[in-house]
Amino acid sequence: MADHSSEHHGDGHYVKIYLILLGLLIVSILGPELEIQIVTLITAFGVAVIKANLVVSHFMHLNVEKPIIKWILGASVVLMALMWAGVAPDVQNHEGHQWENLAAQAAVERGIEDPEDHAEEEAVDHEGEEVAAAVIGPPPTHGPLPGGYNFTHLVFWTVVGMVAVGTNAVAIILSVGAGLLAFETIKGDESSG
Amino acid sequence: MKPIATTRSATGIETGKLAVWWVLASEVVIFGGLLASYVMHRLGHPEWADAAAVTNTTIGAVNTFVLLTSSLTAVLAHQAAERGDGPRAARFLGFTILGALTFIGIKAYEWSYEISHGYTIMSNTFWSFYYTAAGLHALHVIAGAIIMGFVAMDARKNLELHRVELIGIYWHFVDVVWIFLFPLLYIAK
Repeated sequence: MADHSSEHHGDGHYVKIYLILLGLLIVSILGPELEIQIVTLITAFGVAVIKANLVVSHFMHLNVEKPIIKWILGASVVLMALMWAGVAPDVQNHEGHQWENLAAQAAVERGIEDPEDHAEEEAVDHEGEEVAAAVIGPPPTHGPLPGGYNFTHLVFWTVVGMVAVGTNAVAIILSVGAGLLAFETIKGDESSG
Repeated sequence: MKPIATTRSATGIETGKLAVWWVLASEVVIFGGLLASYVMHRLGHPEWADAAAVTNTTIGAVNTFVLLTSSLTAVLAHQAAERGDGPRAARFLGFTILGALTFIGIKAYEWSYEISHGYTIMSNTFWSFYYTAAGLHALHVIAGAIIMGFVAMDARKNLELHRVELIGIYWHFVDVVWIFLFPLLYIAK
């Protein structure tokens, strides 16, 4: 059945891992209560990574699986990171050298605008005009796409390229997987016949 | 007679297990892409903090507890199957299904409350991500529970015990996805 029968643990081992996971869950809930950003990041996301590692290693037994499984999963994680790295500069930032995402800037302005803040009413009004102008849109100079993207700009095509590479790589991996299973079947049929 | 593909392996790994890991590799990209998109937008949109403040941390924490507990019963089912004790494996799979149903029940209550208060998938981009990510995860929980039911019925008769490990691997992955969804949607206010 499992390749890790030599690493067989008793039920007590899994109960111990479970209790550690529950302890980490409590830490991840209580940590953010301190309202210190770095503590929140560590206790919420750092602890999530530790919890996931415990589940993957001990419950899914990845630590004793054959290396090919780790390579398959690793390839997926790398592809995800590639997508993130390619898209993040364009999504997380709303402006850069020679470009700005007016729709995103307007969305942020609308979201954080405080209508009860009369002390800055004048300034808000001034910003409101800019936001309204942004929503309507300034005269296009380089043919921006919806959302403020500019298809004549290198950044746009870089992102498109990265996404295309990522999605095609996933398609290739899945095709190879399906091919492998088909090969197994055909090879098996021949040897049994 | 078993299909030949289920009994042969060129990689040294049982075909069924290899297939499950392959599915999970594609799931890593699906959920990873979704969560990465959420993080990117969240970092670029500080105003999402107001919407995120509405989600109920207590409900999220209880559901995390439920899923972690169901992962324990899934791995105990696997251990029972390793020892050839099908009825015990089926019993633990039953507990795992109970955990899945509890998770979905709590999720249904939570969503009903939020939707009735006007927080729908169309409210804004935060809520679009919220319902898409949690909804896709919930679909995986439902699918896992249904498959587990079939595996448990066979296991009770000491049949196809290797499948107990396969559905367990899938179930733990569903747990891992939630481990990341919980801080993203419920803790990072």
